[in-house]
Amino acid sequence: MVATLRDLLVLLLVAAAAKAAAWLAPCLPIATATLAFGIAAGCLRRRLALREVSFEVPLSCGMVLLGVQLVPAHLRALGATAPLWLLGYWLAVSALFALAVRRRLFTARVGGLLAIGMAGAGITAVRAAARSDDRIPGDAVPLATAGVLGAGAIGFVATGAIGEQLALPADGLSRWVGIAMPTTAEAVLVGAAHSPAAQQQTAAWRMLVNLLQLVPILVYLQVFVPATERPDGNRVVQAALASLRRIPLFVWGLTTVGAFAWAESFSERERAVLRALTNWSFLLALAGIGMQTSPRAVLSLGPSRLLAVLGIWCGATAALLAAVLWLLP
Amino acid sequence: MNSPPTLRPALAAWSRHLKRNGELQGILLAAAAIVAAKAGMLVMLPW
Repeated sequence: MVATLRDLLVLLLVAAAAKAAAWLAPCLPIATATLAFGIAAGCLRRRLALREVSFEVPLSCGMVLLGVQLVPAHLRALGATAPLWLLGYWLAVSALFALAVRRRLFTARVGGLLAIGMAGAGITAVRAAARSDDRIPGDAVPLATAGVLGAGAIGFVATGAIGEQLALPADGLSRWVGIAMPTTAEAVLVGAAHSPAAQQQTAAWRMLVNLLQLVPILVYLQVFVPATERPDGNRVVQAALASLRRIPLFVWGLTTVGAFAWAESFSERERAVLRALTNWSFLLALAGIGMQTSPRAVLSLGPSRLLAVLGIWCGATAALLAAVLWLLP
Repeated sequence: MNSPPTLRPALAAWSRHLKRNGELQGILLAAAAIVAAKAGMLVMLPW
């Protein structure tokens, strides 16, 4: 408990410093400043050989609080075709990584893991899949993590600006950002910078992505982990139960709170107060993500492989934007 | 002969897992925030 409070205090200090910097220089996006301050604080922590700071508490707190914003009108606004949009994007990202595997940029296993992370499911899904695969190479998870964080940072800086240039409406921006961004914190903050409606719809898209992250994880296990190697035997029911256990706990919390919000249990004022708290939770998580990102470790992964990962993500994201623009009313 | 598995070690392992990854604490914090907001104890935070 003391360690948790200490971690929260450190993250709050980093986020508050970033907030002060963004206040002094209003052109500086708050999330980018927080990530940068986090990376600087992480370098200082490693130099002083201090204990690592965990960001799971604010991350899961923010993820659960996102559920408060899920009023029926917002989910209905995603439309009945929402799962098809996700499926289409997953297939596009997987096809691009399959192409990269064929060009021998990655092994099939690493390509599969990267596809899970970069298709929007993010770090939690990468960790969930890698935990069940004993044959995953040691540098695959750091590469996927760096790719997800890199895409989150690029997306945070670029998507908001591109959305503004193209005058994307809240619906179009949240569809694009909510599906393509592999990090929820940045996606929600991009939505928040556009409008409250875009923030709520982005949160709804992220909830859908997080709930359905089970699908790419199961596909990965089906392809790369033969049934006899699965920890819980080879029966379909047992494999499905094992996959259910691998879903992060916050997904269940988010679903529960979302169900209450669906029943319209929260007033507009309560939602506004909790929205501010949600944003702060994600800022603290972002500070923690920055603190765990070592520039030296990322560079040692090999810039060419990381650039290939980010290039594939940029290509898929551009294709998604084209589809969003094409289908705009 | 192996002793039959009991519930206690499984619960202890699950408890260790939750304590280690901090997810449960985050969820409890969110629950506390929701209760506080419902009780009108939270004021608008600066953004």
